[in-house]
Amino acid sequence: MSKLLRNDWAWLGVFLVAFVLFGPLPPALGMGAIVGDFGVQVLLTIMIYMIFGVGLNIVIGYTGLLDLGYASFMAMGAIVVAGGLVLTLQPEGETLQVPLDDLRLTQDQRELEANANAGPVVVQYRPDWGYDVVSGAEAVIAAKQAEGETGGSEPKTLSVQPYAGLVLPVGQKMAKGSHPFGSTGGFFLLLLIAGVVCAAFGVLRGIPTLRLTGDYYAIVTLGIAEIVYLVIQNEGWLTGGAFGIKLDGETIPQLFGADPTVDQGKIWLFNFYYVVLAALLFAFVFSKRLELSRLGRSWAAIKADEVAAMASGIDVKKAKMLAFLASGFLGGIGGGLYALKLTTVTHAQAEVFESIIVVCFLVFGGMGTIRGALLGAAALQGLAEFLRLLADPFWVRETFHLAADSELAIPNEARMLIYGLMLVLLMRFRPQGILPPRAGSDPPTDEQLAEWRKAKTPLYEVGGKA
Amino acid sequence: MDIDWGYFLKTLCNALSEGSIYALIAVGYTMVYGIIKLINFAHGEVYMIGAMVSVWLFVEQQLPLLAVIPLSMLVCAGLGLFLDTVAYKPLRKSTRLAALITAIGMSLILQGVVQLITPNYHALPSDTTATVVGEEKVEALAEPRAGAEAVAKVRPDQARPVTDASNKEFVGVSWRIKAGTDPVTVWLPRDAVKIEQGLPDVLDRSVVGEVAFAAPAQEDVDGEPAISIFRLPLKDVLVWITAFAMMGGLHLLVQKTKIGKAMRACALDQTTASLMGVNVNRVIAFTFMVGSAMAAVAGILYSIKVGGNIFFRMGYYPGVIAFAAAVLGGIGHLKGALVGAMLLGFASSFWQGYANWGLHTLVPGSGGKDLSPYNFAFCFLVMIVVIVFRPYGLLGRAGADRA
Repeated sequence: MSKLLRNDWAWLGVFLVAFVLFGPLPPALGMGAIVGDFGVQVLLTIMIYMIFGVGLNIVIGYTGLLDLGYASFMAMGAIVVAGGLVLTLQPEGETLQVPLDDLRLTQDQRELEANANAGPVVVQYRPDWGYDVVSGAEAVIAAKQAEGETGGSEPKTLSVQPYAGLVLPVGQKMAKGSHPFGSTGGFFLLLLIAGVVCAAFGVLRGIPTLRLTGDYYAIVTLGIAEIVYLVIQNEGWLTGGAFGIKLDGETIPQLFGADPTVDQGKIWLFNFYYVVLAALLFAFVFSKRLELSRLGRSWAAIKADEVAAMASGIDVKKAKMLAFLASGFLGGIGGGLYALKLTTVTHAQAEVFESIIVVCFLVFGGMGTIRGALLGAAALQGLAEFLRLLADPFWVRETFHLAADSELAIPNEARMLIYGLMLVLLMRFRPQGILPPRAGSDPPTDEQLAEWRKAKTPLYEVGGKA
Repeated sequence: MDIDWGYFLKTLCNALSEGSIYALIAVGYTMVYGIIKLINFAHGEVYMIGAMVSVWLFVEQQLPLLAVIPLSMLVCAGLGLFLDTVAYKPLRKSTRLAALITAIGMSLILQGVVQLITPNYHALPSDTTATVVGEEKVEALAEPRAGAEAVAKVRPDQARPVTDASNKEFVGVSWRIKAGTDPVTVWLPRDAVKIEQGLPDVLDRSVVGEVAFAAPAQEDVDGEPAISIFRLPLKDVLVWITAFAMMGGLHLLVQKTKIGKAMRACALDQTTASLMGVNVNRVIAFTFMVGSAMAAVAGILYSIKVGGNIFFRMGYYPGVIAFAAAVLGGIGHLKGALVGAMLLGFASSFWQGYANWGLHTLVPGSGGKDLSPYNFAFCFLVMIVVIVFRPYGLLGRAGADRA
């Protein structure tokens, strides 16, 4: 039994069976789910956080570096996917009608001092407010003055040219069929791009942090994550700023022929659920294969003792870089899927608390094992969703059959408190987590031992040739 | 090129205040790290609680400022002792990663508790105000005497109170009874009025001195030569004096007293210190208490200087930046913490004051780009560069511990 408890594949099997059992039923069976719509959303969140947990486990669990900036990857993956889905290719010379009030001029343009903008009006769309006037400010000012003189009883529009090139959408949205990322294949391509972007960012972030270990590594990743957060919050032209990028039925891609707007998106949700499950399976196998590979062994060596690993001929820099790359890739994939689940991607995705939540999963489950990441995500994300329900006095009243005037509820803020308590108590009483890895590797099974005994070649041979 | 000297001095004054506050937080990080090599993540929350407690004591309990400072120092010293005893002491023998995760956990716990107790943002009001509480309308009297005839009923509203020490049961409130009329002083029962103390006028608005400069030519108004006036607020001077007095006191404590000698001994080598008869655990607890008391002073100074934004997350950024300051100066050095904090205070304030100006001068056509929200990003960048290239800090020696 305890052997089974320490088997990653067994845990994966348990979770897969649970996810299939409680997930949405296939279209032929009427599309309901045992746990209801809310339950399906909770399961989706848990699966996505499992991907994050597996991804972060590569750096924290395998390589032994406390990374406090994983939220940057989660947010960047989400922003790449959400941005890609609302991105459109604007041909040059096309004109469209834009409400005059949505046109935004800068101070310089208003005073017409810096560059007197004559010529056609060219605008660039920003998701957080209307349209930035790129050039042609003079015409806009004239139109605004004219509107002021006539009283502006009805909203006036101005014909403008969108900024040519690949930009966030101006005016009308592209028909979904023609959108490069609107189809299943396009979405997977976009997901891959998100993964690659995040992997590249992981490597980029690895350059300054390569020599660091311990708490200096933690604090530098935290600092970088804060810079990323501030950039996401303030660069509204790229990320939507405080308002975020919103996805709707028009922009969410079709998955295997199902459209989110058809039949209340039930078939789409079914397809999406299994896409996420497949991604989780991919993350698991990817991470497990890495763990057992030569690279995984060098990570374990670095975790045990970096200097000794270096002395044993392990290319520590390369191994660490590959860990950052793999971890970032999974973070990007998970973030991209999370964008579709959330439908609104804001800078809140990049907050430090988000990173710490995923660290909590790993600490809870036991650092260094995939089963720990899976268990931590399931238990703690499930707990978080349960706490969210407990914050609602109506739900508490109905569920626990309390008196009609009961206002009993646990405030939502308690979540932070509970996570903090959990971290402190676990570190105090069970620092290795609920399902810790064995010291050394798992002991060989009886079959393996029998096979080794039968083998003619000795296990170790002096001189290198085995 | 013309320089707006008034603006420059204002930025300088903000930079000094910001640096003083960071310095007071940074000494807590640097002392704790110097002895037990732990990034006390919850230190920013101690600062936050210091600010909260001082605002609560001052506004709600109406204690004078001179009583608030020692009281909230005491509360925070107790909190520091609590943190050490409950969270960190049991983990002395475990890995540093475990201690760091515990510190993060304690930080979340303190934030969560404060958020549960005070869900609303607290700000230090600049005016003393009186609000009618309990009932919707209260009869106001013309004279402070039980049974005196009522003037009018006053609604829950805010007005300036005139307290009279000779009469404990009634509070005189300058109230506008009818809209448009002059305010009259009416007397309300003491328990029907909630008085929130604000900063005394002397402290809030007083100016130590002012200097006028000729402003740059393009800012002329109506053909008259514009002047740019710099007024040095009393608040800022108070912040500087308090911070430097505290730092000086701390320096004396560490260098001249017996417990200070024990702290230095523990920072050098705990085992040897314990063999020489130093009670290491007691020294560590004392270090936590001193550091937390300093953070409490920083919290008070922040609430005097800024007056707003006092809420459960306020400790996070100053905490991380103060840690950056401690690293920048060389972790484990008190002087290093002061130097690093001043540098980061200057970096942050001058970035806020001059980043946009610099961008627009250097890059023509950069129009509406606003760089000022990136002041903390700039501080973090400084921290990262220092940790990567000079992990022992500006005043530290190479070969010292680099985590």
